[in-house]
Amino acid sequence: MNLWVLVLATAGGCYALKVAGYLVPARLLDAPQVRRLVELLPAGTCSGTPHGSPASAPQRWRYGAAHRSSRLS
Amino acid sequence: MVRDSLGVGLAVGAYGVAFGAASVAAGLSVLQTSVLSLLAFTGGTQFAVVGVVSGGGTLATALGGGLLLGARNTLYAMRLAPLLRQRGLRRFVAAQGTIDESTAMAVARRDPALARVAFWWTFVAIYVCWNATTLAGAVGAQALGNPAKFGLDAVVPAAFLALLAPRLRNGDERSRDANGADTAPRSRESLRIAAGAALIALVLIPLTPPGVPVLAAAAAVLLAGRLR
Repeated sequence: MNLWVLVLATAGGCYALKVAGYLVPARLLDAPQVRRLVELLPAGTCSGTPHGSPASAPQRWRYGAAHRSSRLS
Repeated sequence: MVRDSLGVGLAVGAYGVAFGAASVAAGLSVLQTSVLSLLAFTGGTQFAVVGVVSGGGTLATALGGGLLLGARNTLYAMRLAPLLRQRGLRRFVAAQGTIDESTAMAVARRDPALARVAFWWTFVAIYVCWNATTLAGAVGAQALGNPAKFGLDAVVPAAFLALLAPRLRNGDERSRDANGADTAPRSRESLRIAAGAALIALVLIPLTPPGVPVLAAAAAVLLAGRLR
């Protein structure tokens, strides 16, 4: 295995995955399925992100959505 | 708050030594190890990739497992984008710092201005510590010589566990602190998913080529998040 290929492909791929999240159009983020995935997945990967209780999670999200719409208007 | 971020940076930095040592033990050079920490900059992925290399896996399984684990940063980024509200070039700098810890520290703040401060301080603290300790670990392991003799090849699974185990518990405690609500259902859910993923990996280890178990476990976690 060419380790340099692996190292550079891993680095490039990881950065591209991070950037992709910032370039996703706000409209897509408002779709309920996408919203649920964003809320749930980080919990599933045991990241330890303080999502709070299921009750408080949508609240935080609304907060984010409010920001987005204010930016769009 | 800045002190919190620096504390997280130091704590995470400790694992950088383990990563540097494990990476050199797996056969990567010191330079390759440092390039991974500088450019990929996402611990779980780095440990997974190096683990597959040391297990003798193929480039495809190493890269596949690493990128699947890295895909959670995309979701963090989607969560952070409306909070950080960075434009232009700064967005591309923020992207590099979008990892578990910086997201956790930012999302924990209700005030967006504080969230931004928490994000950038955590990013900078971890970036500096992680890369410094990676280099130290890599150089140290190289100086030791034959890694198998010192049991350094056991570092990858051990560090991976050490990295993940406290997070399962911390997520629970921290979220209860933040809003005083009962968070047991959600953290139990995380635990169940993590246990399921671990089980899949354990079953596959003797049956499949190195790297495939990590791929399958990561895919299972992704699916578990999607199906609900």
